[in-house]
Amino acid sequence: MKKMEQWKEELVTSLEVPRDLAMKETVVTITGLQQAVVCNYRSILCYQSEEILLLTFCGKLRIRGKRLTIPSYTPEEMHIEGRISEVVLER
Amino acid sequence: MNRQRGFREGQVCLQIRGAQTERFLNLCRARGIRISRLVREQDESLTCEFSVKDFFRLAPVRRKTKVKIHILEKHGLPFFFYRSKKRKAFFLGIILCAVLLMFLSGRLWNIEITGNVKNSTPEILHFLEEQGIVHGMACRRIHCSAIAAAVREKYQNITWVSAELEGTKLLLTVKEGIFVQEKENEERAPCNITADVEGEIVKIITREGVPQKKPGETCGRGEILVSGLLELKNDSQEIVRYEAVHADADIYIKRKKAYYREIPLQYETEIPTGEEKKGVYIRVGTLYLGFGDQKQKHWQNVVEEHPLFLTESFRLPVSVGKISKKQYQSVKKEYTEKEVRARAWGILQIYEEKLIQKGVQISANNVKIEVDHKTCISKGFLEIIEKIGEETPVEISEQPAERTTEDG
Repeated sequence: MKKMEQWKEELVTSLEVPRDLAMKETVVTITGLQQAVVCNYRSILCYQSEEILLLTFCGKLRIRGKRLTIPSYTPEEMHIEGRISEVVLER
Repeated sequence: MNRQRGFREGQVCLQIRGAQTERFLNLCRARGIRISRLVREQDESLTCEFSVKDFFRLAPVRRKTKVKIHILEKHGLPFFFYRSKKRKAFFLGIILCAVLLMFLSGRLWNIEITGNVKNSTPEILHFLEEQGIVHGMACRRIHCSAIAAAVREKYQNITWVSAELEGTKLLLTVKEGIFVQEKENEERAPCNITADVEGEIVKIITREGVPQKKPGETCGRGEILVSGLLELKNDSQEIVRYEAVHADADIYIKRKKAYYREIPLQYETEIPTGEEKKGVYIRVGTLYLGFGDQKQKHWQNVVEEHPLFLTESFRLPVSVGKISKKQYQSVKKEYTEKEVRARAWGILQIYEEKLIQKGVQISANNVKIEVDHKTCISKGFLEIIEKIGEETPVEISEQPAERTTEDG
């Protein structure tokens, strides 16, 4: 199984295919302190106004801040707005 | 874009309460239900917006997660129409508006003319009006090629015309050519140049014809200055024949021009009191509707009228005007001798300037200003040099008989 994954990674690297498309890796785009866009996530584990915990394909993504809202929530991407103070990636 | 779609399809704002709100969100995502404006409230409930279509897909999700859904607000056209179903006049208005829009969009509301310099826009618009092209006419009755042909035919100096209908606008693009009037080729009738005023000839430049006077000589009214009748002579200085030509010359004469002006010392003047009033009025055709004080006596009125235009060239028969009124007092005053002399001199200067603008030279000024107890009289004469001459027909003499050897 590990060999299969290694082989896949090597193929992606050699073909120069974006990793977010090939490996479904999460992309977090943060604009200033107010806005963040998360692509390629699996589900929401916890949503509070101070913290959003997302399950991604390669671990967890924790976004902390104040008055966090989700203006748009679609299967592909999630827009987060509020006073973002911390973004933590967990294995 | 999403907002427009939400408005068109209708949106509901929901409050979701329960222990498994995150699971509710994940299930929505898995089913492709779009959620917007998701906010966690203080009381641990979620507030979010769904489209009406997605709202009806929430039932299985709600059953699974056991959350309570409460509708807070409803937005969008479907709800608006549902609420307004009893307002018949409103819907009638919408239909009427749509019909009116369709009707009016089939009419001509703007005529734009570009590229014209010598032929003014109002002139071309007037011609189009004569041809039946007016604002408000049906667009389907307009034949662009016919309009272009008519304009080309009417205006000879327009070399190229393009008429194009863009929506409710008729765009007329013209190109004007330069036509030099061929005066040289014109057949000019034979004539003399005669004096139209009396005076002393200062300068005479003859281009065609025989000058009859020399500089320094005086001429009377009606006297021939340049004759258009040429006498062609042979070697023995005998007239062989007469030939009539169009006499052409610049003749300058010096003459005296009388000047007389009388200014009364007493005069009436208007002194503003400082009181001002403003008013507005609306004029629809010949109807006039004024707002404000209508006092007329001892008030100076300055009226500023703005005609209303629907488009650049479509003038409505409605005008809006602004009236500024200033009160004045009529006061009788008397000039001092110095003042009246200055005024008389000023009037004389203006008169001289007008003469100079007409191409007259002033060689001497013999005007005297006299002031008595009632009036100031400026009298005398100005010595002027001006161009004269008028064309008069030539009396063609009988051609002399041809001499033969028998005549001796």
